[in-house]
Amino acid sequence: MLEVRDLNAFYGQSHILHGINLDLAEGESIALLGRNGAGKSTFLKALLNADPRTEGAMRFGAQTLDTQPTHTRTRLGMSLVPEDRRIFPKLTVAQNIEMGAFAAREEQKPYTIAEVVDLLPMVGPLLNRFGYQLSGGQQQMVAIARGLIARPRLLMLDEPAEGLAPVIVDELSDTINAIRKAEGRSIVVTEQNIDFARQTTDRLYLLDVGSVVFSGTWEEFSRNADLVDRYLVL
Amino acid sequence: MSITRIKPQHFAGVMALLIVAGFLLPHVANRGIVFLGGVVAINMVFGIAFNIAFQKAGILSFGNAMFFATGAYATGYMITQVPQIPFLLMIALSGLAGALLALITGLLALRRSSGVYFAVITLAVGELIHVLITKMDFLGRNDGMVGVFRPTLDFAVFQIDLSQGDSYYYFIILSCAVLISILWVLWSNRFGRALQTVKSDPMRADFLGTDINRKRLQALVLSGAATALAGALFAPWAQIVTPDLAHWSQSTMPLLFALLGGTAFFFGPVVGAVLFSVLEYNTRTLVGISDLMVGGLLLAVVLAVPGGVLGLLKSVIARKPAKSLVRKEKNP
Repeated sequence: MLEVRDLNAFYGQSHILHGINLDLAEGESIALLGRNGAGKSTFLKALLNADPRTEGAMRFGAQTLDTQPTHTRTRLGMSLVPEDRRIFPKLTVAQNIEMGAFAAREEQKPYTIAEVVDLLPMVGPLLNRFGYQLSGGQQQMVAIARGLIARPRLLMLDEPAEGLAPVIVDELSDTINAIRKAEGRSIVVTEQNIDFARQTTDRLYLLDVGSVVFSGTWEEFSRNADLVDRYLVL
Repeated sequence: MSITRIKPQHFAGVMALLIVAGFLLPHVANRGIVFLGGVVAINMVFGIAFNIAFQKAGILSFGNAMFFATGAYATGYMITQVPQIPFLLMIALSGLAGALLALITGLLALRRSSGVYFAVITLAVGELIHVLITKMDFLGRNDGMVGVFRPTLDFAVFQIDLSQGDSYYYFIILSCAVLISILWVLWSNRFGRALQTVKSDPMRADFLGTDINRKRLQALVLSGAATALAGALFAPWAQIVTPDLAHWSQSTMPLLFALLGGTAFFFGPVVGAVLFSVLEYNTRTLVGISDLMVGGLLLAVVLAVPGGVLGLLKSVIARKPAKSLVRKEKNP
């Protein structure tokens, strides 16, 4: 479903991503692990042509990604839930979620708010609250609901567990697994929390200073005990 | 309901009050005040049309006078040169002319600039339009267009002669009420909320599939069309159309209305237009210092009350219950 070949990304003169190769199958879930500054968020933004300048080849489904602007790529079925959530504070939760429906593909109607609540029951009681009235965990759930309403084929979650209480992280993990099962959706999760990433994905890519230094299953990752010390411990 | 939206029943209540006040005015005031009342109603549309682009989509235009003048000149030209065109069609065509000018301005400038840079471009385009008007014979050059009479509305089975009595004044009140209602729907619905997201977080809106350039262009075209419709109503009311309508200083008017009333509120420019007219009317005899007083007062309000008069009222109302609660706690 997603093929990335020799992807390089730049912010001005700074070379951030170095020759990234990545594959993601339909319905598969992968994690991008790495320290702060490893290039995880830049990779997701590069996929959406959101900020960095890119070189290399990217393909999503039958579509080659070259010059399409961000909103066009989003309408192909690629949805990003960014690290800082960016809930619109002066809109209600229902209206925040509704804004995500602009990304709906022509051939597929978006979910209704009720269907989104079925997938994310925690959002139900929040629908009439304003964005500024939400806790961090609630904001994360709403951001995921907003990213989900257009029925994306690929849901990208940028550090979803960051800053959340452990009990909320557990709930979030269950939620992401429920979303994975619904309609066989592909998911990319960037994380520093290894346990969370392990619970929500099938395999992983490990990034360090903009390069992939390991890719494989979680079993293979566990067999290389030094990977954590070398690339994830601060 | 978004935080900037007014409940439909509140909107209907305010509109009913405005319409009743508008309809009562000719019965209690002289013709000069009635003329001013018509201008205020038109200015309300002028201000809201500006504010929907400014507050909702974050587009600061210093060229809205060119849209107003486009509507006024288009209607003035049609009334004086091709009077056989039905008046309502003239108004619609004038609105379309404003929309077209806004579309061209937006296509030229909106993708390449934003914020102050866009404002400066609109100022330059506005001045270009102003100069062009003064050079064109068929628009009356510097003298403008005179003899813009108030036409007759022909509905086949009956006719309304807008030149008789206060007919055209009532026509302005009703037309402005319709325009304000349409703008309120667009301010409050999903389109309005999408504009709000484009202003508050364009990158996030882009991630959500919103074509932010298109939304900004739509907001500018809407603003241009509504402003031109206000200009179209103004031409037969003043019965003369002059190049001053396109002067850059006219572009500051809707901004002042919005700032004075409160840009965050749909009815902010309405309050601002009323207050501004009251100020201007009451200082009109102070030759030489009238503009200074109006400008000084506006500056004071804007600096002292950044949220405008409605913002001040809102904060006062928000404080009151808190104080009464404190009293109750002290004296249970």
